[in-house]
Amino acid sequence: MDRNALISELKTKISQTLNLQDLGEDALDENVKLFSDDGLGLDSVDALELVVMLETSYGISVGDKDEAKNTFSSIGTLADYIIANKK
Amino acid sequence: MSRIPTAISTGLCTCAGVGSAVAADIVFGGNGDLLKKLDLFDSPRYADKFVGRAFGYKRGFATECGAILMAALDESLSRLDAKAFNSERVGVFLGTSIGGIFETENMLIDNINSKSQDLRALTYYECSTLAELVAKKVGARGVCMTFSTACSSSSLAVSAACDAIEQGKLDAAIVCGADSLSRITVNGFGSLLLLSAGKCKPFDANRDGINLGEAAGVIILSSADFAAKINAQPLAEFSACSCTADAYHQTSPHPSGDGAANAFENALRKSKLTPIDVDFYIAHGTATRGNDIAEIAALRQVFGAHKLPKFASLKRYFGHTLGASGILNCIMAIESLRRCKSPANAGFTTKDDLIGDSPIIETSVGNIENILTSSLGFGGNNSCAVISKKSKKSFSDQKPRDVYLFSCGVLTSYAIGAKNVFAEISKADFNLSALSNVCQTASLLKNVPILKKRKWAKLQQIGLQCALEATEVIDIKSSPERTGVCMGTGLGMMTETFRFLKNTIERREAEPLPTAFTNSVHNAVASLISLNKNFRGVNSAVTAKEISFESALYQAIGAIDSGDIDAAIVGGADEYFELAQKYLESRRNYKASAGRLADFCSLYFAGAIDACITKPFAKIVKLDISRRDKSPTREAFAINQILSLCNDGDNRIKTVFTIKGINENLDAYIDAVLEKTNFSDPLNMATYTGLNYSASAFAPVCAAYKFGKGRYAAYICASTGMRSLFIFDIL
Repeated sequence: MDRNALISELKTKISQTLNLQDLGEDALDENVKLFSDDGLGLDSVDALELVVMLETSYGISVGDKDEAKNTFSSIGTLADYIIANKK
Repeated sequence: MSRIPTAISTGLCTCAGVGSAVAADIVFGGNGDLLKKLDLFDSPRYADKFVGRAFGYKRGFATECGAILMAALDESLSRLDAKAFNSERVGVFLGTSIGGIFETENMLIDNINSKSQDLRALTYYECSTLAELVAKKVGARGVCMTFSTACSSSSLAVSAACDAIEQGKLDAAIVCGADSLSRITVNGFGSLLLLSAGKCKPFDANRDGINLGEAAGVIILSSADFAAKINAQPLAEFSACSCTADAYHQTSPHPSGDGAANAFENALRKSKLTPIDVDFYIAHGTATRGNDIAEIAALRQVFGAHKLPKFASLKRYFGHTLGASGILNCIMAIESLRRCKSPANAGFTTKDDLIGDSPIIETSVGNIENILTSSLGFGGNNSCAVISKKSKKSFSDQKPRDVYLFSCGVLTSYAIGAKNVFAEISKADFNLSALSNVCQTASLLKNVPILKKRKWAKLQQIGLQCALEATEVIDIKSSPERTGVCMGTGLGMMTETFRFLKNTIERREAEPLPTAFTNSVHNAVASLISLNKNFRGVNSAVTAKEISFESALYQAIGAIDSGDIDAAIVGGADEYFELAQKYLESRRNYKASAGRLADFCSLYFAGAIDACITKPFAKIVKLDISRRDKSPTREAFAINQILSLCNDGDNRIKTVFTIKGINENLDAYIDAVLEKTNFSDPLNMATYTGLNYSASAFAPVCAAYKFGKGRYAAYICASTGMRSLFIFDIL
C-alpha cells in the first residue's frame, strides 16, 4: 500500500476508533498534531486505542505507552511508523 | 463519652490464605513470594501474567468474591460476641469495584455459546449484593451501603463508617472491602498496558505495572464506649480519614499529587497531628509509572522535601487488590501498630530519580504511634486514613449541620431539565409507557465541543447535563476543594461494562476497548462531573438498589458534618439497558403492567446554609435508613414513630412519595405499611421516572414543582430488605 492510500485509510480508522466522525474528514489533516492542545488534544487513553488499532489492523504491537505517544504525533508520523514496522 | 472510631476486630483473606495474622506474617517477615500465573479462566492474551489468588476459603458459595468475603467476615466475628451486632445501631459499609462480576461473565459466556437465556447471575453484577450478605449474616439493621469507586472503594467505606460512628449515628460498623479476579479487570488493565510483565516493583526505577490480586478484608469498627460494653479489646483507633478528588483526568492521577496531598492535609488536621507525628506511610504504591511518582510528590507537598515518613507498598505481596486494597492497607496498619513493626516494600532494588525517595526494604522493630495509609483510585479518587495506637483526639468535635438543597438538575427519557420534565408531566394525557424510555444522546450537552464529549458514555452525559443545570442557576460559595460529588446508582455503567465484556468474550481478548473500560467504573458519572466542575472534595458512587440515592445522601451529609466538605452534588442516575430490562421481566415478582426501565437522573446541589449565596429551595429534616421489619404492622409502628417527630402542628407532612412496580410483593408490603400510617395514598415516582433504582432521587424536585411549599416524606423500600425514610421541607 502506498503512503497516500495508507493515510486515507488511517483517517477513516482513527475517526471511527476515536469517535471523531462528527468533526468531518478535513479536520484530520495528516500534519495535525494528535496529542497536543493546539491540535486534536487526544489523551493517553486515545493513545491506547491507537495501540489496539495498530495491533489489530497492521499486526504491529507497541508495548510501551510512552513510545506510542511519541511515535504517533500525527497521522503522517503514524503512517511512517506503520510502513517502517509492518511485517 | 468517646466516639473515636475504634477497630475491635479484623478479618482477611488474600493470596496468603485466610487470616489477618497470616498475611501480616508475610508482610512483617518481608519475604513473601505468593504471586502466581493467572489460571482462573482461559485467557489467550494474559495467561502469563502474575496475579495474587486468594485461597483457603470455603468454596461452593454463589460467587468467588462472596466466598472470599465470608472467610474474612468469619475471622472478624470469631473473636467477638457476634450477637452484639444484631442491632439497628450497627451498619455495613462495603467497598468493591466489581463485586461478583466473574459469575456474571460466566453467564454471558453461556448466553453467547449456548443461547441460554438464564439471566439470574446478573444479580452478582450488582455490587450491593455482597453488603446485603454481610448484613444478613451479622444481623446488622442500620445502614447498608456499597461504595464502588474502583481502587479506592473500600477506603471510602472506611471513611463513611468512621463519620457515622464519630457523629453518633451508629455504635458499630462492619466495614468490608472485596474484589476477586475477573475477565473485566484483567483485560481492562491489560488494555491500559498497566499489567507488569513479571512481578511488580513498587517505586523501583524499573517498575512496569501492576499484578492484580484478590482479597477481602473486614474491620469491625465501634465507638470506644460500645467496645467497652461488649468487652471487645480495642486494636487501634482511626484518628481521621479524608477523601478527595483530583479533577484532573478520567484515568491518570494529577502528576504532582495535588488531590492526594489535600486528603493527607485534611486527615492530619482532623487528627490534630503534625507531619512529624506520622511514623510510617503504608502506600498505595501500585508500581505503575504514573501512580508512584504522583504519590510521593503528594507526600512531599505535605511533609516537605527532606523529611518524608518511612514508606512501603504492599503490592508485591498481595498484588493490587483493587477495591479491597484500601482496607487491606488499613488492616496491615493495625497489625503494624500492634506488633510495633514496620513493613518492608518487597520488589524494590533500584532508586528512581524521578521519584526521588526510596521505600523501606527491611522490616524494623520500634514504637509506632501513628500510621498514614492511602488508596488512590482511577481518575484521581483519593482516600487516606490516619490510624493510631491512641488517637490524640479525646473526643469528637464533629457537629451535625443543617443541610439544604439549593438547586436541582433532572433528566428523564422524555425531557431534559426540570421545567421541561414537569411541563410533560402536567399534561392531562401523560403516560410514560407511551413515551420513549431512552433519551436522545444528540440533544445532551449541546454547548460542549464534540472533541471534548466524544468519549463520554450516555449515562455520563446524562449526569453531567443535570450537573450543569443544577450549577448554572446558583452562586456557589463553597470552595472547589470543599465541594464533593456523591452519586447513587443501582446498576452503574451497565452499557459500557457489557460492551467491554461482550467484546472480550466474542473476540477472545483479541481487540481490547480501553475507553470502554475506563468508562465502565461505577463512579464514571461522578468523576466526569468533578472533572468538568472542578469539584475536588469526596467523589463517590454509592449503590444500594432502590435506596442508592438516599445512601449517597447519607454519605454526603456525613462528609458535610465531618467538616471535610461544605457542599456536594448529590443525586441518582441509572440508564435503560436491554439486559437489565430482560432480567427484571424474568424475575418472579415482576408485574408486566408496572412499566419499564428508563434513562433517568436527578441531582441536587446540597450543602450547609453558607455553601451558596443563592437561597435554598429545600431543607433536609431527617434521613433514616434501616432494615425494615418483616411485619408491616411493626414496620408501620416504627415509621409512625419517626413521622410523629416530624409531623406536628404547622409541619404536617403533605405527601408521601414511594417507588412501586419493581417487585409485586414489595408493592403489597408498602401498601400494607402505609395503610397503617396516615399516608395510604403515596405518590409512585416510578410513574414519572420509569422503574429505576435511582427513581427516589426525584422526590425533592417533584415536591417543589408539583406541590410547592411544605413538608414531605419519601418512604422507599428496597428489594434488599432495607428501607429509607427521607423527610424534607420545600421552603
